[in-house]
Amino acid sequence: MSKSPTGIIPEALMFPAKKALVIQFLKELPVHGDDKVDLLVGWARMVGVTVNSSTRRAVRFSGTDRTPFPSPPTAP
Amino acid sequence: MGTPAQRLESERATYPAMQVDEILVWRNWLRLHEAEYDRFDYNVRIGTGVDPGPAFPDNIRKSAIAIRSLRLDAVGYKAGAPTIFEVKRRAGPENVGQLLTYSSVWQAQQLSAVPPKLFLVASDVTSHILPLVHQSNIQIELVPTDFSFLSPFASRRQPT
Repeated sequence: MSKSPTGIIPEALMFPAKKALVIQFLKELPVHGDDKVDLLVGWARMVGVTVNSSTRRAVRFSGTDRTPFPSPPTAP
Repeated sequence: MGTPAQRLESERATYPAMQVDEILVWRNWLRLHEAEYDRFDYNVRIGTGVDPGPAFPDNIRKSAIAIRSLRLDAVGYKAGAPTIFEVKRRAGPENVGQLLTYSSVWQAQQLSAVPPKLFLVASDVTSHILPLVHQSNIQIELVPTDFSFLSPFASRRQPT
């Protein structure tokens, strides 16, 4: 699945060279990881590039559904 | 050399919920049927967006709310009666589910006096969905579409 990024990802980022900024933008979005990947794939289709699995995984793991590992207990 | 996004920039602004290949399918469908409707609304959002809260920058907050609502490709109106359109390059099972979900949410929010009709517009279809499409009263139309405009080698070509 992919989602149209128009109106969500800033228009200034609709260029292949902006891939790193798009990834950063998506990582900061407080939404489900799968939604982020759908937007990333949608962006890639629009600008005519591909995104590899490690990039998709990195974006997915920044989703709100992926809770961070709990901090280790501190020693008294 | 322009990307598909650049080459279809004005169309993307008009049809923001559609991908570039879907825009080509929709334009072809409009050429055949636009006059049959009184008007079309685009980028219609239904359902409840979830606000992540003021701790986030405004642009991030707006994007997050937008992502969490449902975004309809197009809604056409004929004598006040709405038709929800889903536009795909290749229609599959998920698109039937999308349309049924949109219809349910639309009716729950009482967005029109009559229930919306559902319409799937595509260039190709997974044939397995056709029985369910008909059972669900979803209208479907396949519109032959040339996607060569999206090729990187077509950047100097004008859209047809």
